[in-house]
This record gives sequence, C-alpha cells and structure tokens, in this order.
Amino acid sequence: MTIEAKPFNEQALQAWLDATEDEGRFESAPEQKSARPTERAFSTSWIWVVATVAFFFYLGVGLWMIYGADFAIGDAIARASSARAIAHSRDQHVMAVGFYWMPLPAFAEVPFMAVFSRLGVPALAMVAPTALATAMTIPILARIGRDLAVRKWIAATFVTLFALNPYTIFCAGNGMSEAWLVLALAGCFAAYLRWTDKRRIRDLGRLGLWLAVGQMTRHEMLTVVVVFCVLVAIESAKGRRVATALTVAAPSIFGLFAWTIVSFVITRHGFWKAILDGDVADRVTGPWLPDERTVATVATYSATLSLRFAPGIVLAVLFAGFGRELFGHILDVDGRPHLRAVAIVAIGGLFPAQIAFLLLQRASYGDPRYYMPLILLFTIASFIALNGRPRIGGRGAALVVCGLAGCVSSFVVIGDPGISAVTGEPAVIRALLGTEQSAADSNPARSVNLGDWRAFTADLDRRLRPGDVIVLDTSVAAAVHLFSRHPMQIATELDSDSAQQLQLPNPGYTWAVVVPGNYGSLNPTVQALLRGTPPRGKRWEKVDVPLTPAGFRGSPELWHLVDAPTSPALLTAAAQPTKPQETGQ
Amino acid sequence: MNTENATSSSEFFAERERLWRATYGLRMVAPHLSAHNGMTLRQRKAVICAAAVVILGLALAPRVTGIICISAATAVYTAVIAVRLLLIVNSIGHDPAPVEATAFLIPDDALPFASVLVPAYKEPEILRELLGALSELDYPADRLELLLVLEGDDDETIATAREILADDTQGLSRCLRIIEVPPAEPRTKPKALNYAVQLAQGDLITIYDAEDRPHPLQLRAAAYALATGGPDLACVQAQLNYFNPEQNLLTKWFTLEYTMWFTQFLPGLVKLGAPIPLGGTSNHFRREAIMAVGGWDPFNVTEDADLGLRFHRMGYHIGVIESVTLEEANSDAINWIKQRSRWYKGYLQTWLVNLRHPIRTTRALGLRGFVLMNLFVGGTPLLALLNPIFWFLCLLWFTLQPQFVRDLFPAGVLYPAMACWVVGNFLYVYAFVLTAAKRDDVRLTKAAFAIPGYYVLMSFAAYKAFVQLIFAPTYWEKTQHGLDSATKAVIDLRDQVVTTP
Repeated sequence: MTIEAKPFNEQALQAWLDATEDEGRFESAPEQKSARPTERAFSTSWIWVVATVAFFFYLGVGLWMIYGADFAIGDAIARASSARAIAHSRDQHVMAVGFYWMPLPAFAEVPFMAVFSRLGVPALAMVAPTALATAMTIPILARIGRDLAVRKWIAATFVTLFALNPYTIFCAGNGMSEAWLVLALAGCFAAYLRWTDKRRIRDLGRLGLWLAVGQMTRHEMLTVVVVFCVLVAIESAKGRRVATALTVAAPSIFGLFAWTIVSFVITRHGFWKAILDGDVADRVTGPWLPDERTVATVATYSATLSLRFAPGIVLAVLFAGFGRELFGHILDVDGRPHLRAVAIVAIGGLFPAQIAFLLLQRASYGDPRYYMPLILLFTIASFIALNGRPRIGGRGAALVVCGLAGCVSSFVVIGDPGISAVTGEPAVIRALLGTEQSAADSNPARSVNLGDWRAFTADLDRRLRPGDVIVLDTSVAAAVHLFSRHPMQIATELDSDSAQQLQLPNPGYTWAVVVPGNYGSLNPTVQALLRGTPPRGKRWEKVDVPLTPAGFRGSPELWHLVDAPTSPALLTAAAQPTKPQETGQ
Repeated sequence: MNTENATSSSEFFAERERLWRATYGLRMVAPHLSAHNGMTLRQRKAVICAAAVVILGLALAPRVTGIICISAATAVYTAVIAVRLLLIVNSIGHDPAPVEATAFLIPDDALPFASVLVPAYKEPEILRELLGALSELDYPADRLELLLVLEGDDDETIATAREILADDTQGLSRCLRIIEVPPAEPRTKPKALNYAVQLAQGDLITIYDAEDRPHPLQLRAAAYALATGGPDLACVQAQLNYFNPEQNLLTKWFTLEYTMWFTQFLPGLVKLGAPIPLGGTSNHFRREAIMAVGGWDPFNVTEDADLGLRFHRMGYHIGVIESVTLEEANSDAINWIKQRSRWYKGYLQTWLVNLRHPIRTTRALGLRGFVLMNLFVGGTPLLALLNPIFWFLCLLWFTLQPQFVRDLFPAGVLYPAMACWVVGNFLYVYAFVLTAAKRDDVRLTKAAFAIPGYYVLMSFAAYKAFVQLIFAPTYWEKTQHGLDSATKAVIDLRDQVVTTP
C-alpha cells in the first residue's frame, strides 16, 4: 500500500483557531473558583514596604533594649552566645548550638552572627532574626486578610494593631523564640486557609513546612501539629485522610526525629529538654504564680493572662459573627468550610491550656511571653469575623476597640512586676518611662543586669593582650562571650577541647571568668583550676572590675594568670578561693 | 503485507545509503556532537591531569586536597539540590489545563500527516498489546502511518508482527508498516530510528516504545501544541507514567520519580527556557526540526537526552504537553539497574560530548542553559557516584569519629554540607511525598517516605554506568519488558491519571 504524505496544514489549523477563538473553545480549563468572594482582593505589595520599615523599627527597639534599657533575657543571650560559638569562635562547630532548646532560633542567628560578630556588633545578630521574623509575619497576615476578602484598610488596621502591640514589639526585639513561633503560626494559618479554599497540594506542603518551622522552634508546637493533622484529615476524602495527615505531619516528625537522634548521638540524651524540665519542676515558683497549684487556680491564671493579651478574642468568638461560623459547624448548619473557625479556637485554646498544665506540673514559670501567639490569633479571628464585609460596621469597630485594649493591656502586663518579673521585662517599661525600680519588683535578682555585664566585658577586653586566652562557662557568663570583641580568645565549655585541657597542669589559659556558687559544666572546674597549683613561676590573681553586685545571680570574678611573686606567703594568699555566694538559685 | 525488503539492486543501494546515513550521518556532519569518539584527546588529557593533581595533592597535602575535594562536591550538591527544589517549588502548584479536550475538537483536515515510529527488539510477547494500544489512537487513518521498526535479524519479533498484521483484528493494516533495519553495528535504538525516519512520510514524527500505552488523544494534542507553539518549537514531550505502581516497592519509587520528573522538573525547565533532556518515548517532533539537527546519535545510549540538548544548541526549543503515556515500570531490581546504568552512561556521554568545547557550548546554550545542563545532565549521575562516599564518611563519623573526617570538614564546609544533608535530603523526600499526594495515591505516599532506599539502587547503577562508560561506551543494555501485563490496570489507571474536563 502506498501512502501519500500530506503536509502539515497549518493554514487550515490557523483558520480554525481564528474561527473558534471567539467562542472561547481554547480557554484553559476553568480553575476551581474560590469559595469566598474575591472581588475585594487587594494587592499586598505595599505591605513589603511596611514590613521593611517594621524590621528596622523592631531592630532599633531591640538595640535600645540592650544598650538603652540594659535589658536582655538570659536565654536570648545564651542562644546568641551559642550562635557565636558556631559562627565565630576558637572552635567552630555546630554542636555548640546546645540541646536544651529546639534549635531553629539559635541556628537562625548563625548567619547573622557570622557577619555581625566580625563587624564587632554581635548583639545585632541576637536581635535581627527576631525582628526579621516579626516583620515577615506582617505580609503573611496581610495575605490572610486578602484571602479572607477583608477590605484593604480594614486589614491594614488589624495588621497595624498586631504589629504595634507592645508585646509584639517586645518579642520582635528580644532575641527569644516567640517571634519565630508566631511567624510559623501565621504561615500555618495562611497555608491552611488557602488549602481549605483551593485544595492545592502546594498549600498542604506549605502547612507541613510551617508546622516544622514551629516544631523546630518550640516543643509546644507538637500539639498544634496534631490539631492541624486532625483538621486536614477531617476535611479530606475518606481513604485519603491518613495520607493527608501524614503529609502535613511529615516535616515536623522528621524535624523532631532528626533533632532527637542528633541529640542522642551527641549528648546521649534524646530528650534533653524533658530531662532538664523534670529536674527544675519542683523548683519552679514565683510570687506571681498561684501558691496552691490546682486545676482551678492554674486555669484562672492562664485564662486571666489570655484575656489580658487578647481581650477581643471572646468577642470575636462569641459575638462577632465568628461564633456563628464556629457553632454553625458544630450544629452542622453551615458545613465544613467553617472548620477554619474551629482551627482558630482549638489552637488558640491550646497555648493557655498547655501553660496551665505545665504550671500544674510545676514545670513552667507561666511567663506572659508564652501567651503572645494569642495576639496573632486574635488578628486572624478578626479577619474571619469580618470575612467579605464591605464596611467595618459595629462588629469591626468593636474588634478594633478590643485590639486597642489588647495593646494597652499588653503594655501594662510587660510593666507589671506582679506578673512579668520572670525575666525582668518591667525593666524595659521602667527605662521607657524613666521610672526607678520599685519595691514591687518582685524578683530583681533573676534579671541579668546587662549594663554591668557589658562594663565587665569592656574592662576585660581592655586588659586582653594578643595571645591571651580567657576561659569561662557560657551558662553563667554568656554575656561576656557575646559582647567581647575578642571571641577568638575565649575558651568555653562549648569548645571540644576545654574539658580535656583543664585537666592539664598548664592548660594555657591566661584569664578566667567564674561565678562562684553558680552552676555550669565548666564553672566549677575553672574554680578548681584557680584553687589548684598554678604553672611554675605563675599565680592566679583576682582582678578588680567595675560591678554592681546586686545585679547578678552571683558576682562574677575575673582572674588573671600573672608571674608569681617571690614570697611563698603571697603565693598561698593568691591561690585562696573566693567563698561561693549563696544566691538561692 | 506492507514490508520493506530490498529486492532489487537499486533498493539494495538505497537501503545501504539509508543505513550509512542512519549510522554515520551525524558523525559526518557534526563530529563534535557525536558520541562516536567518546572522550576527545583534550578531554582525556584534562581528566588525567586532574586525576594526577588530586593524587599528588593527596600525597603531599592530604588535608588541604581533601578539603578542596569535599568543598567542590558540596558545591555541586548544593547547586543541584537548590535548582531542583526551585523547580519543584515553581511547578508543584502548577496545574496546566489538559490540552486533549481542545485537541479533540480540531477538524481532521487541519491535522498534519503523522508517522508513529515504534522501535522494538526481541519483544514479540508485548507486540499484541502494543498494537492494541496504537489502535486506540484517535487520529484520522488517512493521515497516520504506524511504523514498527524492527531489527532485520530479529526473526521472532518480525514473524509475530506479521502474524498479528495478517489477523488484523485491530484494523491497523491500512496504516501499519514494518520497517526492517538491516543488521549492523551499533545495535541501538537511535540507529533504528534514524533509519526509519528516512522512510517516514509524516510531518509529525512521534516515537513510542513497545510497551507504551499513549492516551488516545495524544497525537492530536501534540499536533495542536506544535502548530500553535511557533516555528522554533521542535518537539513536545508528553508525560510518562507507569501503569503498574502497585506491583512492588521499586515500581512505586519509579512511579514517584517519573511523576516528579515529568510533572515538576520538565515544566520547570521549560519555564526557565533551559535545555531539556528528553524522555526516550512519547516525543513528538516536527519533521524538519529532527532532520535539521541530524537526527538521533546512534552512538549515544540516551539519544533522547542528547537530542534535547542538540535542539537547544541549534536554537529550537521543546515544550511539554499535559497528556500521559503509560509504560511498564521496571519491577525487577537487576533489570532496573541495567536500565538505569544505561541512562546514567548516556547522561555521562551526553555531558562529555557537550563539554568537548565548553565555550562553544556556553555560546550555544547560553550561560544559564550551560549551568543547568551541567547540573542536570552531569549532576544526576555525578551525585549518584558521590553519594556512597559521603554515606561512608557519615557512617564512619557516627561510629568511630576519626580525626581525619573532622579535618576534612572545617566550619565553612561543614555547615553547607550539613544543610545539604539534613535539609536538602528532607526537602527532597518531602517533594516526593507531595508528588504522591498530587497523584492522590496513598500507597505512593508510604513509598515516598522510604525513597532514600532508591538512592542506594541509583548509586549501584551509577558505578556500573561509570565502569561501562570506560569499557563499553556504546553497549546498549536491553531492558526487559512484559514483566507485568495487567491490561485492566492500564485502563483504570489511565482514566485515573489523565484528567479530562
């Protein structure tokens, strides 16, 4: 059989295309229409400008807290010190991140520290990541508002209320983990709300990854992961539920698993945090906490603080239309789309409930910072309550008032020594208002007086000569490690050779910082070194440094290895240890 | 009966000429683009020099040399993982509209004449299913020819084909021809295609493998895409996927890999305007384009990938269409390693061919194209070769913690390497999990979590390929098909995978 080839008849095809284009036969398959009205969708490009401004504002606040108010939370300094040990130290290694906390906030500081430490401003590396995390939360919130068809200026109002809430600002500048937690939660909700709307795998993946970011930030996220898994499973088709939940949970499970394995391999303790929490459980106390820990007292404490942070949340849930969504679902009136309301309420309730539980177990200080996610959840709840409304109306106005009330209340909470003295936050408000420390400041000894530490470190830096090596324990003198201009001359317990080196007759250290009577893996060993026999022809001499002893958990001491005096009596006197100070810690 | 037999002397000489062109055409026209010569002298010198420098460095300054090697490997890992993740992120939410519904509406007289080339070698057992699948193609019979391309000495397959054709239960005799390729070395698929394309009369040239089950509307979709894609669009690649993912863990992994490749990497590369390593089947070419670039390289064992790059060098581009061809996933580990080692060997061949004149290649592909070519075509087998070395170092560190491992990883190397290892590997695995979710198959989701086991098989294949590249560069490792014949599953899964409005 012979087949005659026929040329590609592009003209015929083109003619047909021209004829049919008007009929719309070549339109792409229609995309799944959003379940919500989108006619009010607005561009969010402007919010990046706002976020950039916010970043520099938060950065400025953070630096003011350190250098203006002499305030930093000890844990933040410890994390930054770990980051410095990883990025810029005598013995750079990733293990220095420590295994007590989940590692993301400290790891996030590493690239900043690699730059800022070399530029001589390591404190910036402590503040910049949290400022960045909070600034990044702003566009995500704006996008949630847009996705929920909230009008632009209404969204801007609520985003501003979030961004300028004093506790948001405080957490953005304090170098702690709350800013990362809030960013992760915002990301989770943005992805979850989009997934409920469009059912795209991409959003499911984003939800999983944001949950992992939260999980690698704080242990409390584990329950949030569970809640989101349950929610996506409920909303998935039968037969797909386990796979969908697994897809969402996988990154968090991997993160937790990988970190536990690494922790086990390196420290031989897979659950280091749990072990340490168990150790401190019995010692957790504070005048702001209920004396008698019962379900009723801890629940009251937790509920009270929740309402002080987000007073509008009750209004949002019960009265502002949000409750209809919530109860509409429960009564099966409106169907599944309103599971987003359940998500807000479930996760919003998780945080106070967890803190109450830990308080009951005497395993938490009940720090107000832990309630900070409620400010974010209030903002999202407001968007849901105002979903698709063309005008702000009475409901919106009430929510705005609640948001403003939350801002004022947060300010009061930070400054209230009766609540917030866990890590010394009232010092920030005192510095802001220019007031003196009052007798009501219940636990000043807990706060690290950063000004003193910085003066101490500056004095030490001035004394250092090339070739000198300082030995210290970062768990009691992290500020020295963080603020010193000579990180390459500081040996710490984070260095892989320190413990071994200290066993030698002449470990090669010429300076030592110790805090007698305090804990730390290296602190007692360094004290033993000072009490022991110094190298031939040398002696350890205590150096006078400018200090305000009341500001410390125990007074730090600076010792210097100097040439030995000729008199044996002086040698003995110099080696006499300082009596450990009782601090009650 | 419609066969090509040289019965007269003029036909004999024409056949010889076709065979010569099929075998040496590209080599004569563009020897620098043919894999016939393997590595050039300059490349050999470069490799020997590099090896000598490394050996000398290891002897004189082992630590520094080791750090440099580890740094280079880490840079390759970082770049490959970053590019792949970028492509995945770009395309994971990309749901292109299926073109088949549109293509269905094209009037028959607007369609080009299409030649479907189906090379087969020693595969008599799957011919019947193949012809059954081809008979389902929705294309006007007077504009279609099906060319069954068989080796002249493959008597068994030829006999079976003739037998099936004689029965003609599928009504294919109108448009089916058997092309017998005269026996000659190299015994490769590209040589057979080069031979057959000279006898094909269509303006649309399509390649299917013997075990393929193309979507019935795919030819129309390809014709539509080529007609509307502009004159520079040389080829459109249909998606490939498997009809037997449920068979065992290996077929599940293979299915995930193909789904990822065809639904995420390829669309991502097309979007970037990067050179595309074509898949070996379900390619639909403009006839003038395939002829203009010299056809397939008969000495390259992944002639498809090579052809894709050659198109890009010559100023053409490649598109993808949202139409699926189902194939049989390799369900036997040994058979899989044979197939994969051929692919890796071909990728290495293609890489070496394109690196003969790096500057000329960069000019031809553009800098971005050149970088992406290195990361995809070179990086894929290279990473599979490097993986076992790093696994070993890892194992050594976690068990014995020897000092030399620590010395090899100073902070500047350790952190990127760890980020690659922990974050990169996880995100890669997670991308497979999301791919499984996209396919809406719970069984695949479970398999996705175990995908690191697949990496081990890949490394076996890579080392086999590396050895073969040295000792038998043009040897075509035949993949055995027909290990699964669940025809019903074909239909069910096709309906499930191919989305039509």
